[in-house]
Parts: sequence; structure tokens; C-alpha cells
Amino acid sequence: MSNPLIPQEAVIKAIRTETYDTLTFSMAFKEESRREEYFFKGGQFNMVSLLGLGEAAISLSSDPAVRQHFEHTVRAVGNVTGALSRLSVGDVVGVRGPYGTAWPLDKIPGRDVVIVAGGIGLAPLRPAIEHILGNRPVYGRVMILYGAKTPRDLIYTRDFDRWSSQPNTEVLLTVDRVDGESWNRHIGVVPTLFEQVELSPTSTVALVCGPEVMMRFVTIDLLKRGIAEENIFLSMERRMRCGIAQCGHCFLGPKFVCKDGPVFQYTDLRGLFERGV
Amino acid sequence: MVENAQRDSPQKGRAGQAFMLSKEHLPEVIRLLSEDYDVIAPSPGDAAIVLERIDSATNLAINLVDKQSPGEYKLTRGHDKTFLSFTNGPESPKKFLHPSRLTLFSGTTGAEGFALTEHAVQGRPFAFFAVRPCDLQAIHVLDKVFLSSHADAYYRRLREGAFMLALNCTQPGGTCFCASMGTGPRAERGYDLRMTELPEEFLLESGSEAGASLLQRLPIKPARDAAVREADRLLTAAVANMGRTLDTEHLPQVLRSQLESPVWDIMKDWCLGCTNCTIVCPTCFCYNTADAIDLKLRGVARERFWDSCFTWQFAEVHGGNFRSDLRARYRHWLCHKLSYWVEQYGVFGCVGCGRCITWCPVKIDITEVAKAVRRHLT
Repeated sequence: MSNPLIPQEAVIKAIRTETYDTLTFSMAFKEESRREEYFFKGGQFNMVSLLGLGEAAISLSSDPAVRQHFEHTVRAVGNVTGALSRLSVGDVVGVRGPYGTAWPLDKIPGRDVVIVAGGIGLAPLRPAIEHILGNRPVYGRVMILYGAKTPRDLIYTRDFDRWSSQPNTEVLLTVDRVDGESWNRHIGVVPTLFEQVELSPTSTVALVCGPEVMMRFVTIDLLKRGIAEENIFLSMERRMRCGIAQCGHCFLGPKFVCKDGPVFQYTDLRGLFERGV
Repeated sequence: MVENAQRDSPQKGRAGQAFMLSKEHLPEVIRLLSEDYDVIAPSPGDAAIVLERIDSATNLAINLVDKQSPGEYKLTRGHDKTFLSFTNGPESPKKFLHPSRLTLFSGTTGAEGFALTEHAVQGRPFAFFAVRPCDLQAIHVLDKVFLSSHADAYYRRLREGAFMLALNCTQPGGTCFCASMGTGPRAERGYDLRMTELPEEFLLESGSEAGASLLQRLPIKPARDAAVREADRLLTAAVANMGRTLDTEHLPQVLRSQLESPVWDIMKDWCLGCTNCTIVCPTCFCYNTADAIDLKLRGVARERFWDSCFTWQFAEVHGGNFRSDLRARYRHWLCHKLSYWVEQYGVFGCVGCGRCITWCPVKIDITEVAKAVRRHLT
């Protein structure tokens, strides 16, 4: 039996700059058999190691249908993520995974999907967006509500036009504030984007990821607009050390975010995430 | 794998019958176990009974008596005739099955890649001598944590083939409440051999084939009915002599509904966040990891070590901390032990050993806190 705690070699194939502090790494396992067997679903994450420095849980952010490589969008804010940002194409990192639950995309054919993201929270939603747009006829109307602190904090800006040019697909952007950049879109926190959309309460499923405080307010807004609790899905963030429900760091009340999440149905979090457990 | 069918199947042969071993033959038990196992037994430490590898009965803690109460542990000499009348010290089998520091892997790393080797856990299987029923249950709880879907290779190897020589508790300590948790004072499962100390001898019963075969090598005699009755009497009396009690009825649901209890505000100012309780707890399993690298930036190893949900950094992420104050951290720990655990694993995370009460420097008593939450239902 292989040891799930030992990372395997993955090679950095490409690096794209998203913002001043955020990069997207395209990676592939070095070993061919591992490369071939590896697949993930949108919403899941890998544990990424820089040996000698440590390991961090990073969500997968590429289209799961693309099997040759996988992508991680990384903001250089920690020990591991900071060092990762200084690597080059061809460098090798350690990867184990994928871990955790996925967005319920196979359970919602025909439904309208509202995707709500804040900051780098768009990263774990990108596989869901790419999956939906790659299977466009399967889903109803798609609304992508995305906000960041300032225009220069928005990631995946190069994808917005391609996304919004798909049939029945809207991309609504907002920023909390403008620091002198030119910006002709909405200004305000993410929940204020709800004023610009009409949601059909019975047919809409919401996929949400962002800072926890944002998700609380988004959930309140969604419930106010008649979206049922079981149709709201949230991707939660916690510190993680093992990824396999043994180190205890990711507890959210009784939930292991690494195993029971990171994608939760709101009904599983009710009474928990509002209370800072 | 660990809860093997053999232990759970109806006992065969001599198993289940009671036998007597005279007290002077106790060293023989340790000698025989030492042939096949690393024997872990209570040993006299500086000021407390600790768990150590022993190779003969001379290292065994005997004739010692401990007095335990919230925040206090005192060891004194006991009667010469009672060998094992102390209760648990601060250490539990967790020390050996989930070591406080453990290398996960080591190897070399460089720009072109890395090569890692799993750290092999060496050694003969453990025999836990005089493991208390509460600690036996704690091992059962740890099995659920570490041998579930992604079995932990290290725990599995340390746990595999372990021999459990359980000691029933005839003299519970001042902070014990195993009777409330349904884990003692009599070992009911998971043991290979269980013993009860009587005034003149030990009563032995096997619970597995390994236990039965050890019994056969010992100078035993069938137990007199009076001795069996005496053991029953002592264990029944022990239930009434528990230092603490805890009403567990609907407790998981009660706690889950009381996440805003005013009691947590009191605990915020009382608890020091020192992590003693999580260190002595026989089921607290949380760990952290850290990498080490040599000066040539080539040789690398990853270690894991016990962590505690009472530390400030435990739930810290970039830009925030999910449990930044002791109200949240104490609440998390207590609710995990007595509520969340049941949801996660179908058993309480608390086994009623009382260690967290004894070793708390500010005398916080988990049973009293749980009672207080019930009293102040909101």
C-alpha cells in the first residue's frame, strides 16, 4: 500500500502571471503512470510540497477535462507559496492528492448556476466554470459574480471575455475600491452584485468561494432571494497539514474540511460557520 | 485489521475462564512477554508514574499509590502487598502508538527532482502491561482516527500485533470517570489478557488466542469461585468510587446546541491555553509537520509532531485565525471530545481517564464544565 503522506515529483510546465502577487502554475507528474492515472474534479485540492520548506493545501484551478497537466493559482502570502512564486519552468515540486469534495456539477443538469467568488476564491471555481462552459447545453443560465479588493487584484482577467461570450452566460465584476486605475464596472463588495441580477429561486444552484465573511453575507443574500439551503454550495478554507483527516487542523466544528469539504452543502454548515467554530 | 475477528469471536479453549496467579509470579509475566514484545509498563518516574519500555519487573512501578485531584498529583509509597494500586500517570499508550515526534520520510532534493524514502518504523510489537480499560478504549478511538480510509502507515505498523494486558481498576483515582463514559472499570473488549488484582493474587482471564497461549505458559491455577466473586465485588464498588461523574445522556446534542453558552466566556478567562490537557489526553491526535533540510540544501526530512488546538496558530490562515481566542479554542476542544467526535467516529473522544483534570494547572474539570453548560442552557 502506498503511503499517502509521501509527495510525488511534479514538474512546472508553465507559469502565468495573474496579478502582482499571484501566479498560475501548470504542472504535470514526472512519472508517466502517475500522470495517466491522475484526475481530479473541480473543487478538490492538492497538497503541494517544497521539500525543506513544507507543504500547503492549494486548490486545483484548471479544466479537469485537460488531463496532460493540472494548474494551481497561488498567491505569494506564506512560506511555501512565497517560495513557490520564485520557482521557474522545469523546477520540480512535490504533489499529493487530489483530496476533498467537488462541486456537484453532475447533479445539477438543466439548472441555472450562479457562481460567486471573492479574490483568489475564483481559483477553485475555475474548474467548475470550464466544465460548465465545456458542456454548455447541459446547464441553464450561468452567472459569474466576481469581485476583488481593487482592479489589480482580479485574477483570470484574460478569461472573462471568452466566458461572457458563451451563450446565456454573464460575467459581472466588482471591486471594493479603485486606487487610481481606470474602472468602468461596478464598485462595491461582492454581495452588491446581486442587485444587478434576477435569480430564479427554484432553478438556481449557487457555487460560492471567497473569504469566510464574504460567504456569510452572500449566503444571507442567496437565502433572501429564495435560493434553497440545499442549493447553496460553499468552498471553505482552513489550515491543513495532512489532507487526509488525521492532523486535526482543518476542523470546522465536527467537519474535516479536507475530507467532508472543502465543498459543503450549506445545510451541512448551518449553525457552524456563522459561529467561528 | 486491528480489531481482528479473533478477538471478537467467541472465546475458545481456556479463554474466558478465570485463573489465579500468585503475586510473586508477576515477574514471570513480564519475562515471557519480553521474549516476543517490547513491554511497555508503568514505571516510577521522577515524581509521577510514567510509561516506559521495561525488560524486567525490577523497572515496574509497584507499591506506589497516587493521589489525584484537579491540578494535583501526588505519589506515595503504598502497602507492600498491593502491587498495582495506582491509577494512570500523565502518559498513555499514545506515547508509543502515535509518538510525539516521528520522521515521516527522508531523502535528497535538488532542482532536478527528489528521491524520498518512507521512514521505516522498526522494532518488535508492543505489549502494553497493565493498560487500564480507559486507555484500551483510547486505543480503540485512535484506531478509528488512523486506520480509516487513508490508513496511516506509521500508526498501523506500531499498532500491529500489539499485545494488550489489561488491568481492571479496583481503585479508581480522584479524577476518574470511566464508569460514566462506559469504558471501565472492567476491560470489556480489545484485550488479550485481563487481570484483576486481589489482596492475595491476580485473577487472569484471556480474551484472545495470544492471551490464552501466554496463560498456558504461566504457573496458574483455576480461580476459586470466591476469588471471582471478590473481583466482581471490587469492580462494582469501583463504579461507586469514581472521583468524578459525567451525565452523557444527549450530551453531544446538548453541546452542539450550546455553542453560544455563556460558559465559554468564563472558560476564555480561566483556561491558560497551556496545552497540558491535549498532551496528556490519550486520544488527542492532532499533529503538525515540519521539514528539515541540511546546509547543502540537499538532505531533507519531514517530521510530524503533536500539536494542540489550544495553540494560537492552530487554526491560523493567511489573513485570519478561525479560533483566535480561548473561548473558541476551549469550546472546540471540549465539544470535540464530547460531541463532534461522536458525529465523526461514533464514539466519544473522551474515555474518562481524568488526566486533563489532574494535569490542568488551573484545575479546570471537563466534567464540571460540561455540567455547567447543561445548567445554563440557552
